[in-house]
Order: sequence, then C-alpha cells, then structure tokens
Amino acid sequence: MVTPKKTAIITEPSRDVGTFNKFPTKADFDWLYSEMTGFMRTQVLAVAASLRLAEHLQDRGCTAEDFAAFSGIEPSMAFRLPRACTKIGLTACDDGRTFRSTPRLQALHEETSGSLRNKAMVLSTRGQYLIWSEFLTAVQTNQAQAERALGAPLFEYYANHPDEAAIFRATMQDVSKDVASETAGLLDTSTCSIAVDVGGADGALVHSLMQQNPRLHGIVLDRPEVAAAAAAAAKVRGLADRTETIGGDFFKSVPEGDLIC
Amino acid sequence: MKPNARLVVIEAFFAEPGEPIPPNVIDTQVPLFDLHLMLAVNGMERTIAEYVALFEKVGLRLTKTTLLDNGYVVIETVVA
Repeated sequence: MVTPKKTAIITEPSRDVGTFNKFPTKADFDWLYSEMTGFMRTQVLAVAASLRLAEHLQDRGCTAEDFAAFSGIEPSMAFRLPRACTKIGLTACDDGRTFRSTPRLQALHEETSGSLRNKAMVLSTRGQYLIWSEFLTAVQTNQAQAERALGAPLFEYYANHPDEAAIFRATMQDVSKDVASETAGLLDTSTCSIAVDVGGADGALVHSLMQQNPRLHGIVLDRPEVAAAAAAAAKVRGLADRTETIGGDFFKSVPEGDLIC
Repeated sequence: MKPNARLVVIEAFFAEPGEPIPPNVIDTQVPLFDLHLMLAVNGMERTIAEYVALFEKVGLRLTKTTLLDNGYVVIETVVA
C-alpha cells in the first residue's frame, strides 16, 4: 500500500469532491474523521433532546450550574455536555462558561414545528442503534440483524421494551402528522365508504381523510400495543364513532376497504 | 383487495441514481435509511420505478404520483 507523504497532504490545494485526486487533503482527513464519529453525535443529540436542552436555552444563556439544576445531572457533566454540543453546532459559548442556543438546537425543541426531538431520541435507543453494530454481517448476509443484536426480532423486542416502543411510536406519529393533512387534500374519497390506515400509528392520516369526508369510516390497523393509542386519538378527534382500531399484523391480513393507505 | 379499491403508498422520495432531487425534498438521508430498514426488518426504501415493478407483481397499476412539500411522495394505484 502506498502512503502519501505528509507534506503532500498538507499542501494539497482545496478542490471539489468530485475531482479525481488520489492524495487526500487534510480537509479530506478531517471530514472522514468527523464522519467516523457520527455515532457519538447521534448520542449527544439524543441526550440533548432527552434533557430538554433546547427548551432550557430557548430564551436565555445558562451556565453549567444552571443546567445541572434544571436537568438533575452533575455540574461537571452539565459543562461537558453543552461543550460537546458547541463543538457540533447545537450551542454557542462566548465566555467559556455561558451556553446559548443556536437555531439548530431549537429544531430539537418539542414545540418547534417539525421538531426532530423524537427522531433524535429514537435513533439512539438500543433497538435502532445496536443493530448497526452488526452492519458488516448484514452486508455479507443480506439479512436483518435485529435478532443477533437485540436477542429478538425488532417488534418482538419492542413488545418487551415499552419505553423504547413509546419513543418509536411517537416518532412514527410525527411522520404521520407530517403527511396527513397534505395527503388528505390530495386523495378523493367521495366514492369511498371505508378507508384503511395500515400501520397507521395514532390514525392521523385516516382521521384527516375522515375530517374531510363526514361519510367516511376509518379502520386503523397497527400492532396490538399501538391500537389503544389509535382508539384514544379517535376519541380526542371526535371520530370514535366512525373509527375501528385493530391490533394485528399487516403481513398476515389487512381489512377490506375502498381506500387502503 | 376489492376490484375497485385503491392502494396508496406514502413514502420518502428516493431518487434513482443520478436523478435530480427536487428542491423541496429535504430528507437526503434516504439511502442510509434504506440500509437501516434492511438491518432492522429486512426492509428497504424504494424508488418509484421499484414500486411500480412491485405493484405489477401483485396485480396493481400505478395511476398517479404526487410529491409532497415535505419530500414524501404519494403513490396511488388501482387493481390492474
């Protein structure tokens, strides 16, 4: 293997990524090393979301002592965590002790439209995160590795880990909310009696369709542990009398309907 | 599935290699989530062409695709 001389690395002029050049620049090494540490950033983002750093820094700067009191973590860690957040652009610090939010951090705020809080947290959970430790095996076998990494297929694992399942479900509900109203405006249901929301989480999509068509009945099919949430959401949205929720497995059967989505 | 029923798939837009990504598509991570789905549940992300091929296998016909503002695509099908 030929190793490029260090001087070549340092003096290499900057260039477009697409330009062929066999000698990486220092910037290339820095970029690559930054990519390698992505697994750390995943966890930092998740902890910042879990501890509600965005909410705490929304309107003001805070010291490690402030953040420790707010979050209940040790003051030394309440300094090291925001310091790492500053490194990755979530927070800023001008005086070495007071941290303030950047707009990127506010994308983790629970009340920000399109908030990524749940997504940040779910990607750090064992169910989503540990499977990547078996990525090479997956590439070599072209097979899922949840059972190898978690001891059970993913949804069986979730059935035994309700806290993680709740975060996963909240993330899926965020996705449904993102697409529900715009999709409901696109789909003509005037000739439909029954719409089936397959893997519908809390039923946001089919409920949006039902709100646009008062004659439409909806069925939400999702895993048994999710079905109760869909029934509760139907009540909150005033659609319980037209909504049926089914706990099941769409790989086995899907109810008949005029529109299946 | 009833003869006159429609099946609608709503998924993240996944460009073909070299296909321009529409400006409103914000999720540029789809190729990574394609691998994530494989690792998790033997699943995959699909391009529209891949969906069309899948639909044809099970007797469905594509009728319409609409790209949403948030980068998801609504794919409408009917029984062929």
